Amino acid sequence: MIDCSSFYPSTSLADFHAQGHGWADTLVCRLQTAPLPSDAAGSHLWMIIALPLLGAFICGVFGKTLGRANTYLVACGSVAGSFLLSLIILWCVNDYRTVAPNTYGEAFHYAVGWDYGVWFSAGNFRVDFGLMADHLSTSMLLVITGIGFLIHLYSTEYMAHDDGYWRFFAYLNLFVAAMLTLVLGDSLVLLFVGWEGVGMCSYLLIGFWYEDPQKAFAGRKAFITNRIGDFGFLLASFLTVATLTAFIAQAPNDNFSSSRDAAGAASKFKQGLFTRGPLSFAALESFAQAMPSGTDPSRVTLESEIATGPLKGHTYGHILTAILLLFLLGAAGKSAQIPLYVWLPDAMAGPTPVSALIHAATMVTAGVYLFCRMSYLVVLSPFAMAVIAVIGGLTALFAALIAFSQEDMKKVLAYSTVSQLGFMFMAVGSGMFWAAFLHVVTHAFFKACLFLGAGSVMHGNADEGNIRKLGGLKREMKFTWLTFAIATCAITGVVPLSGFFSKDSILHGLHTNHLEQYPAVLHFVWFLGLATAACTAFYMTRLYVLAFEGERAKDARVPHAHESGPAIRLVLGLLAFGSVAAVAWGVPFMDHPSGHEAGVQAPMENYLWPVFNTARQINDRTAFVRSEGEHGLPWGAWGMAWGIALVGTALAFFLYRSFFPARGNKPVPALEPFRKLSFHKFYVDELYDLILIRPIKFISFIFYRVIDAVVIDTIGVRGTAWLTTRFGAMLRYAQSGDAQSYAAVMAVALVAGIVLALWGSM
Amino acid sequence: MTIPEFTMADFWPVIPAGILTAAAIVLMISEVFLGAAASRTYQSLLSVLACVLAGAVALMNMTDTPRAVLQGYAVMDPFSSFLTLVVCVGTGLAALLAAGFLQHRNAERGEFYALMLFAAAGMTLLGLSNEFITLFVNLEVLSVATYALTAWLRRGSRPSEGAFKYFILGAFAAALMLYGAALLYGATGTTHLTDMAAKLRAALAETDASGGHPKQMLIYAGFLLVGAGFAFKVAAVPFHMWTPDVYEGAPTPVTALMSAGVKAAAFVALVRVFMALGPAVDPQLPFIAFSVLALLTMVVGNLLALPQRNVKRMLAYSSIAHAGYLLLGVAALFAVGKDAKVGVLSSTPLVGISGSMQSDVYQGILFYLLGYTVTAIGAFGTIVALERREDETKGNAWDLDRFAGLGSRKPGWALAMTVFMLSLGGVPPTVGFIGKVLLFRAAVDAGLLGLSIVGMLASAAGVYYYLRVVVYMYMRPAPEGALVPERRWTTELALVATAAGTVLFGVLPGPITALLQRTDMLFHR
Repeated sequence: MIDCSSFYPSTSLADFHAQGHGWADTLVCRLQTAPLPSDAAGSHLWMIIALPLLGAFICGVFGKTLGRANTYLVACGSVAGSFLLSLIILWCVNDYRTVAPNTYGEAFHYAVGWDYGVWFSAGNFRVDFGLMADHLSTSMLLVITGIGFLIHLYSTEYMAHDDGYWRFFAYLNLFVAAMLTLVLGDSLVLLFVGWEGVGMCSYLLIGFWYEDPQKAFAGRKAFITNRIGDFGFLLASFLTVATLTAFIAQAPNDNFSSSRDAAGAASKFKQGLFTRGPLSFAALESFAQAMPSGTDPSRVTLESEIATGPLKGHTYGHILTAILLLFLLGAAGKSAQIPLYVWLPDAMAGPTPVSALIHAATMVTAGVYLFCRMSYLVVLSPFAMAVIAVIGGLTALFAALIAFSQEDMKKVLAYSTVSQLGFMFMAVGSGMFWAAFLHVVTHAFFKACLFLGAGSVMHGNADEGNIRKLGGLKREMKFTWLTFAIATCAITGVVPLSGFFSKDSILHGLHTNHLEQYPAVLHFVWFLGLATAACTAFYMTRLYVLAFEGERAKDARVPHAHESGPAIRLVLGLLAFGSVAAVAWGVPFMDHPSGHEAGVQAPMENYLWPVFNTARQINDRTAFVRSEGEHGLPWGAWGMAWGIALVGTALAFFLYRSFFPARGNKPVPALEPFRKLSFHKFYVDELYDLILIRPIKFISFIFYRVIDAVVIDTIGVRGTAWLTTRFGAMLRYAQSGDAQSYAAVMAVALVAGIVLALWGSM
Repeated sequence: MTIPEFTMADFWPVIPAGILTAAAIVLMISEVFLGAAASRTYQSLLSVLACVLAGAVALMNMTDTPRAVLQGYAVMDPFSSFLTLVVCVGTGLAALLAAGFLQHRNAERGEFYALMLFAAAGMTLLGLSNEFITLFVNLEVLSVATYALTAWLRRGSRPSEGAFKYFILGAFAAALMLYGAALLYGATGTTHLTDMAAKLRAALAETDASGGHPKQMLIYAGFLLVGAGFAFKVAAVPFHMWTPDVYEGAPTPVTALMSAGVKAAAFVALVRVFMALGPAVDPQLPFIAFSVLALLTMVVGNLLALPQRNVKRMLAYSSIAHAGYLLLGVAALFAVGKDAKVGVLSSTPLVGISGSMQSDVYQGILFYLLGYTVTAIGAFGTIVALERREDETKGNAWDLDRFAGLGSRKPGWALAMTVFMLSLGGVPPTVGFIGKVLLFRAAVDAGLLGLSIVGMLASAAGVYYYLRVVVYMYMRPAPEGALVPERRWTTELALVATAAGTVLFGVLPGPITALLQRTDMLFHR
């Protein structure tokens, strides 16, 4: 056996090491020899983005002439190529010798990165075009390209009868490229490019069948709702620039005294800000490291007031909270959280593979990724953490309640996605970043499987998505049934599938972590989480039972469903396998690092250690989040979680297998108001319409009629145009065509010039 | 009498002109042996070849050390070498356009190309003249050739009318310039620009018994007269009035050459003369003069183009407007320090122009000249492709209606014309945009903020008439019985080359700007 006593033996992480554990570690040790030097891997990161981008270009421009088969080949091949490259990157970042350069401080270990030079600059402000892949982005890369490839493959069959196939694959490839930019960008600006890119592709794909006005409207709704979030994102970025600029002017070297060479670290950070700009994640990380809490007169702390710049007079802590809350607004838009979640259910108007890829597996997790990426800033503001957790908890429960009564298969899954994203936000709010990310990964598998299963059902039932009109598919679509059932078990939290462990690690974290300043918050959110878990089990089982169990509905669109073809079945099978296999990330079997958190940890926690190490160090210093260590495996909590899932499942089985069928599917009068409330989504769309959309429409009507039509159009545009043309027409009269008068004009001008010159020089 | 000793180093700058002249002579002589029906496409290609060779030599000269050559009668500097390059590009493209145009009218003769090449030789030599008599002779070489070219087609009244006006007014302007040069000679006793500067300073300082400056009036009048001569050549308002009539009457390839090459050469000579002599007198004088000219030219040129339905005339006015932007650059060269008494439309105190800023202005002017040459020749080339001989006498050969529905009839031509119109309007990603950016940035850096804003507004108004052509091409149906235009490979080659250049230099201006990024652009002793 190769001696491999520690996973993370680098000097900067010397406080951490884990003991070896048999063959798995041996394999990991072998994989810990990078196939490429750091430089070579880093400088070729762009290829991962370029491949799908090229694919999008080819599909979009030549797709129609190339024909179907070639378009499929290009679209799938480019994503598969990116997947292979991502695997190489994964291999590289598992080597402890792999380092990404960092202009702002010590180099990053377990990461590759490359700075491609100045992207744009204005005055002292610079943004570089840089890409970086650490464990966090690499996992996202694999999810995006891996699941993305499977969904491309699935689409080749799903879109086989659509004439716009080339457009579809061009958009899909473009989406993959934008999403890869989002996770590879090493600065907020590049992340924002990807952020907007995925938003645009989402808009294009939701409205893919744009002839249907309702679908086009759904696309617009998604886009506009996201714009509100983007507004928050932009404001947060601007505030970040202002804060870092003020900090660098104000901070003494003492702020950097946690490093061995405080003066050197300070000057390196300043140099980095000057030459590379303040919006890079490396800058934010160094900033967070140098920002202590408390009131230390020799340093700038969270309590000190900003001395210069536009934010003068506010404390750093307050500004940071504001920044994080604005980022939360952005993340709420992209990741469909309260109050901006309304677009996601409507986004189901797009083709089903789109719902699976964009609106379940990848894009909607961008908000979670953003907070994981900036974990070191999040832990500096307990207030923001509390808000994030509460928003996540409320969203999770609220969406789950709406999912109770929805009748469209994809709508149920959409609300389920909103609800699961709420879980991830809860985890972020409690400081359990790795658990949030573990749920991102497992959710990507089982939710993609569920959506694609729903797509397969619709494919085999003449696009019928209403679960009341399906039923009995267990016998007609055996393979789809099997995979759907596995994924349902996974999301419900049946042991030992992946969803159980990821969800439970979140609930466990909510239970054991406490925000020092807001002690009750996480406990409250924990209750929300438990309730949501029960609801999840209920509505998912309802969906499963109504669609797959029982007898075929009498008003079904086609008498017999047909099973889907090989491509769809293969993808469903692989994703179902993934939903089971992803459990390997979540089972806590590895020894926990030395320290107060003795116990065991999940491989995902171990794997993401370098990414969240800074956040942990900062929290050790500030002690904003207190964690009650538990020894051994949390059997009690597991039992409770399992019990809750079982109760929800059993209740749904009872209601929809025996109770309602026995009543002839008549509604229960006592429950009817609740059903209606849930079915109409608590009238949130109507509420938004009343308090937001109508007033804005009224104001815009006034602006349109008075300001735009009269002032701008008539007076401004037509008026100046009319005046200008008049002048031109008047000048034309001088152009008589008479050579003598031309010469006369010249002569007069000349004489006037001479007179003026002489008069001026007198 | 001693024969001065010349080395090869003296001749490098004039070699391009030599190549052009030699080709012209070959063309003229070979024409003698041709029958009326003989194919003459080779003439166009030979002209293009000569231009390519001359341009290559000019490109080589770009990197050579700036120096005075031929006993100080001419200079060799990147400024003039780049002009030679621009002229060769313009003449070559115009010669390509001419082949189809002339064959269609049965007017293709070797003399036409010979005249074009003579004009081109005159332009390149004008750019490097460093002495008033040389300058005047070269100016006449190019002028006489273009007068003749304007009258090349003798069908209808327009060509001869245009040529006659051009000749009369051109002679008037030449006389003004010669008179001005004579006055300056009278004040200084020399015609060499480099000697003249020092002597002008001395002459201005002379005082007579009553304490006045006797030669001041002489010198200022000389300056203004020379300036007026140049203003005529570059078609600056109010010396612009000949332009639309002549541009409309001339054969379209010749118009293309005039709008690009003649103007470029005149600008280069103007900059050379005034940069040599300006510092000797009060620098505020040239600054005011060029600011006023730039202001008038930008505004009036654009306003006059607005109501035009005749695309050829519209392009003539547009070329006036573009001369205005270039004049803005010239004015920037003379921006003076904080103690300036005047600032035409300037909202910031003039900061004065330093050496490095000057090179920015040169870069802006030269890049703009190249960009305008490529774009304008392309735009006139589209007209060449579209116009029909039968309509010329009626005068509606160039009406906007000719462009209606071109987007569906000839998508390639319409796309090329769109590119040219966008470039003329200064819309990215075309060379016109980069040129405007460089030029206006240099002007703003020199402190000409107010004038630059006026220029921006004027060019914004210009977008209206450029885009109107695009609107006609894509949004108006083709008129009933619109003839399918003939295709000629030479014309289409020129269109492809200009359109590609317009976009390429607009996307990748780097190589050109790097070539122009030199501190010793203009040779001073």
